[in-house]
Amino acid sequence: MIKQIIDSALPFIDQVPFLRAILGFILVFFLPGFTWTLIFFRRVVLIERVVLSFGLSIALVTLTVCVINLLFDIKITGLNTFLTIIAITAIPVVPYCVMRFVVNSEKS
Amino acid sequence: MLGQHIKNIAKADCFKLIPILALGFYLTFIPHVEYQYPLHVDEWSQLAYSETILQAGDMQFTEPFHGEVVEGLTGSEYGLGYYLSIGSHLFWGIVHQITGIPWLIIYRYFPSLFFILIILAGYIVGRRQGFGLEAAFFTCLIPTTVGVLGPAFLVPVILALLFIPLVLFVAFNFRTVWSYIVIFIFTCFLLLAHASTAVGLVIAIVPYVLIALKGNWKHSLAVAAALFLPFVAPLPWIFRLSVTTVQSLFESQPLVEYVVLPSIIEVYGYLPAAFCILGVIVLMKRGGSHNYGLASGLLLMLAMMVVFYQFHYGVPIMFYRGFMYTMVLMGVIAGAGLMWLKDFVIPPRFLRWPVLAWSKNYINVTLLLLCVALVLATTIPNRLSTSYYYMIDDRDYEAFVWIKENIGEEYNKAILDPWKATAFTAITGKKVYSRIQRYPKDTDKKATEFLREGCKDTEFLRESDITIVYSLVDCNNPDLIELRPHIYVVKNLE
Repeated sequence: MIKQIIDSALPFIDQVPFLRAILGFILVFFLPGFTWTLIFFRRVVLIERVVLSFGLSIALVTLTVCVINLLFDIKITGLNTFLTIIAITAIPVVPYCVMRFVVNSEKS
Repeated sequence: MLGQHIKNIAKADCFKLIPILALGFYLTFIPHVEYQYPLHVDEWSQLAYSETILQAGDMQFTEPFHGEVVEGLTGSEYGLGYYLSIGSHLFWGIVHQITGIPWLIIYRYFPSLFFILIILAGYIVGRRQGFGLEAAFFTCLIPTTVGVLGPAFLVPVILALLFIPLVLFVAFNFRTVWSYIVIFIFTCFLLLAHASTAVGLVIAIVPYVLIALKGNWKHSLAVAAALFLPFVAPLPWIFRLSVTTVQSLFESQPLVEYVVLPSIIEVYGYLPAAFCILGVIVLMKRGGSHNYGLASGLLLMLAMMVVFYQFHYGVPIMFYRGFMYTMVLMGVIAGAGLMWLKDFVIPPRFLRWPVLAWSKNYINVTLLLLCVALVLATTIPNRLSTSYYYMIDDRDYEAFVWIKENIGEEYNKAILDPWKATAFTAITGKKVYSRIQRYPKDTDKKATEFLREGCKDTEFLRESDITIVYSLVDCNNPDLIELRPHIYVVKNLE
């Protein structure tokens, strides 16, 4: 299912290499780290969050791809790496939303 | 209203950061302006490894240059130390795989883009202490040389360098469980991407951990645990290497002559170095665990460098890469020195002098601008005149691409100028008889001699399983077929 969606989207993205480069850059360098900084760091200003997001993205993406390859023998392919990054990005979103909900309900 | 808004933007740090980031981008782009290929042998080497990992889809892969099997993190006959930067190769492979950006673009523009991140990391370390911009300014002056590397090269040490200021920032400013987890993650990554930087990080932060013990021992212990646990976890696999490394600390090591070792102060600049000394004094006067920790971290790093240089005790790689760690710390601390100049208050007794009394509102800004101008006037010409080697030219690149696209897999081992062989494997994916990584070996000399003599020794080709010859000198050997100028393959390959 996921593979079908990606397979149908890939030809379009491949036709616009600039778009793929921008989206790919954000996906590898920024997004995973950014979502984790929402959990890890509460009181930081924007520029600090941005820099930490880059650092965390680089570290988390590399470590996760390496660990799942070594432990679970999952091949380092474009699709697997993409899904891994999506997973790393999505994991902290749920606890963050729960935390926000709790804080908001306490306030009200 | 609008005028006030514009004034606020102009006053904001982000606005002032732009020229500093642009300067950093420019300084690191200088070597790439007229040359579109990777420059340093370590960049070509990394490219070859990244491409091999992607081809294999695995961390267990065949070593790209000579074909030995690399058993990932568990070591090989090359020794584990050789693969302690595998995380960096993997990361740039992922960048290429996901973004689809061609390798040549990555190696030309990403060093400068990545350096912007390092400058921003320097900025956030200084920001909460009041010298963020100043720290960013001096961080952007970190030089690049062929011997000690630098931000103009996309090499593992530069990927790892970002994490030294980041860990310092997290350790100095946060005391939550999450922050220790972040330090743990960063240290794990450093061990995978460039292990000597992980050790460099420990050297830089140990003084802070010790100083902070007095005020907040729980925080100190937690930071120490987050730093040291990643070293302990892989100990069963790296025990032998660790023992060898510890033993080497007590043996005198020779300085390697083939690495051009500039003095830190000369390359970094005398004025920035003077500001760094001033910065150390300012931080010591200010006190507090952050300031003491930062200054002592630099002093410990310098002590490590001096001990190795003067007495030859230590781990050589820590000395050669230590230049980078030292300069990033010097950059941040020099920012504190510049801040002192910016905030310098003229003693009231001097204000009786009419000239000083009149200019008291402008004197700090004038001094600051003068110093910045002086630093730039000495630094930029220095960077422009730094020389770099080029490993291949356009003719070589076109020939290598042609070989990749037109010569089948049955021809999989080449002999060529050993200096160009690393780039050859990176581009073609084919193995080579010999390549120069650090200094010429016997096999490199043999390859050069074979080519110089017109590639006549067929026996040598067959014994070494060589099937491709790339030679700029004409080959006079009936057993070779010339497919294209300078490109030959062995006849009757079975």
